[in-house]
Amino acid sequence: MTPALRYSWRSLVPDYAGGGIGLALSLGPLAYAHPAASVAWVLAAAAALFLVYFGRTLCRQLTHIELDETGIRVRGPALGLLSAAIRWEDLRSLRLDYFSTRRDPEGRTMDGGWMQLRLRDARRTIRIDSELEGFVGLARVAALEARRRGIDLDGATRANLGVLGIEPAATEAG
Amino acid sequence: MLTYTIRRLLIMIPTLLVISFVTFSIIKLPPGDFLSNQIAELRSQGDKAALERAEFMRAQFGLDRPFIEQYAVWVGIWPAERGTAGERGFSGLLQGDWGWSFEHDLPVADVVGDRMLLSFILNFTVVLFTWAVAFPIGAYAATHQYSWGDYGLTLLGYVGLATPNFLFALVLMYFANVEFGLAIGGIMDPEYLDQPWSWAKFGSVLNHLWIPVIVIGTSGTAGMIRRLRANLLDELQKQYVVTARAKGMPPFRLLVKYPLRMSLNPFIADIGNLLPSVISGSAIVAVVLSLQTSGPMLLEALRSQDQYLAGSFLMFLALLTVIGMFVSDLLLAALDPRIRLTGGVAK
Repeated sequence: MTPALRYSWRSLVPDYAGGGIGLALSLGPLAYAHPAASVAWVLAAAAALFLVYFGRTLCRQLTHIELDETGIRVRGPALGLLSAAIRWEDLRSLRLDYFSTRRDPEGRTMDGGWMQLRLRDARRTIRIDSELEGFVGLARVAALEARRRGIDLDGATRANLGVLGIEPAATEAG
Repeated sequence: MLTYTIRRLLIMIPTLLVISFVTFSIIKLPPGDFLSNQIAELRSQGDKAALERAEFMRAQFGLDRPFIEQYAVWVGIWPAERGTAGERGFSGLLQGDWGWSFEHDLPVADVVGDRMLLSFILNFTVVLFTWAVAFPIGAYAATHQYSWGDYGLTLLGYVGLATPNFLFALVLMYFANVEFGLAIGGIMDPEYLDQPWSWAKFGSVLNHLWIPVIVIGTSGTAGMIRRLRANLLDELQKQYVVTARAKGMPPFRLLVKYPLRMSLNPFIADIGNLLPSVISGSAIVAVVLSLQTSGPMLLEALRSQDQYLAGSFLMFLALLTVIGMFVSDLLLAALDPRIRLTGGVAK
């Protein structure tokens, strides 16, 4: 079994700051500036979203991921309610998506963006972001297991795995 | 996607704040303001009563206050002084108060009336028109490369790109009038202006909408056809297409399944870019075609330094653009979440 993988403080601090600033910018005018009803609804919806984001960051801080030859386990907070496990033999699909909030006319660069690995069995889905320490190693193991089981990968996943230096499975989803 | 949506929203809020600041700064850049110009004029005429009233209004609307305070009051994050008793209260964009139009001597909301809605309808229809025309033509031109159809459509595309919108509007107006006896100016029949919305008014808007839509949409359509054709040609030459063809996959199914999907990216990415160009293009066309949209009024407000009217228009247009960019980024992330490295370093 590999040592437990966690989200680094370096990745969590900007998320906490983002959530906090978002909450301040939406709740501040709501409480202080007596906005019109329509604007108040928009600000309240934004505040709810930022609250979820803040909570999600807190969950990430309290989460660690274990990986071994039998499968992957996410140990989360809330008395295990946010925990999940997938055995490699039950793995049904693997996706590696890339997101970036920056626009580049030539395409997006890894600088300023992040990847999300999505593993799925028949019942549940595990999502892991590239801010996790040891993410590339985890993605390599998952891709290897996916290839062993002949799981088809879509074009975007294959391209993204290639960027991480992981040779994707030979087949492509059709 | 939740993380992406929230991070993207986080960028939107400061963007709007910065836009509002830049907008207000630009409006205030020329020396003086609407009322100070009027005061100078009245002083030269020696009209004492009007002069006193103008000076009272200047103080009433806080135009004698520091720039940053005027900005904060306009946005609605700083309380403004109301009346002569000195009581203070919030009344800005956040509170739904768009301010006062000095030129029309009315609240901005009353002056603007339907114009924002009509601008939105016009610009939204232009975007739909652009897609509806560009998509099939672009796909046809790529799949029939170097055919007569491809050459003909390419020529049409270049003509559309090279013709300025206002010139196209003038040509269309001339021919419609001379050849068909049609007066195609305006966005609705004059009898519906300043009337409440009804089915008849809506029908009249639809009857008049096609001319400005064609005029404003043609250049964008031409550009998009060129981009879709180029992208689709790139995709059609890739190995997986050759392999699928060799395996006997039906041509239409093959086209729709991967290459067309991949070449949709510029369509989605262009939602955000299309809106600003459509809006700025439609301002001049609206003047030429006498459309009752925001364009002509915005130009007039900027010319006369009617700051709250101009500022409200600009903020509305900026909001439309920022929302367009947001929607386009979300769709793009959902459609093709792949990285294209251009020298960036993997994290």
